[in-house]
Amino acid sequence: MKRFFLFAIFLFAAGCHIPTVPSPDMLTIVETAFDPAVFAQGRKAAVIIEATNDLPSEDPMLNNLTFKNRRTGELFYISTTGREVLMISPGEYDLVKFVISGSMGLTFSEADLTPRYRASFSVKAGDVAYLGRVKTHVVMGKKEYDNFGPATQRVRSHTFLLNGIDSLPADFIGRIERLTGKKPTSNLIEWRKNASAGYSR
Amino acid sequence: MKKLPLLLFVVLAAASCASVGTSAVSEPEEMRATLERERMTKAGVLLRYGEPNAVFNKDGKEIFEYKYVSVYNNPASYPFLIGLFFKANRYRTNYLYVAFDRDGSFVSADAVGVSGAYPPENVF
Repeated sequence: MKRFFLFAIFLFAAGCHIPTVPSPDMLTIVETAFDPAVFAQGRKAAVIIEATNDLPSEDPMLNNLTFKNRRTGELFYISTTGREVLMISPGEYDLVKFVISGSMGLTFSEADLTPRYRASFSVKAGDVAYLGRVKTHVVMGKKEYDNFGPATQRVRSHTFLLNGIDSLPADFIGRIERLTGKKPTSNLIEWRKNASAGYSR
Repeated sequence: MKKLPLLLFVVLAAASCASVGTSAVSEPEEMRATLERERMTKAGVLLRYGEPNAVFNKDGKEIFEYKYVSVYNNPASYPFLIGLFFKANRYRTNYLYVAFDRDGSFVSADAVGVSGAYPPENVF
């Protein structure tokens, strides 16, 4: 019996595949994935959001945003290089995390923009809301070389909200209509600088 | 010492599932059939199944939403090499919508569920 269990554990580990322990975040991701049958019941809202950036990297860097329901504390996560459609509970939501991450050459880079911005929106049950496009534009400064240390380069970034509902592809809008029974309407996130933390740009 | 492999196996198996919601909704069809058969009032449903996840109004009816959401390890992904062909985790979401009329009498129960490999497929 002991040999059997040791062998089972060996197979487990030798497969170079340690199972990922399911986490509460995974439950949130599963619950907020759009499902037409659940949406048809009328309690949830569907939200469409786009998030892009032009950071210089070989592969597009991920835009990770987390929003929290003001009343219930429910979270939902957006992790995208383009467009996401999610299904969330109605209510008022605030941005609690905004991080751009990804590979830049040999290193993994993360830019935490959370302190710089405040964002919020409100949806009702049955809404099919286009929240806008969160675009981060980056300006790379001149590289400065130092004989005694590595080169440095200033990076200036600016994140702003675009309203691109008219530029959404027709086939995408058609799919939204088919799966939700409604056309999407513009319900833009209120996106602003966190002036109280001293950010004005 | 003899019990260590068994204990390790049990711990690994127990750590392989995360869930939230009302456990009765893990078998939504059974719960729906019970409700249809017994035609419980709102008070009866609250007594037997506890507070719903959400309450909302639709078409003049009051609706209780019960849910059970789980993400669990896929045992098919455990075996050496063969497991590489399977996703590590699977998920299941079950919702049960129980509708009552104005005086709290049972009207209908509707079960909705989906399962698959994690992460969920993007239908768009």
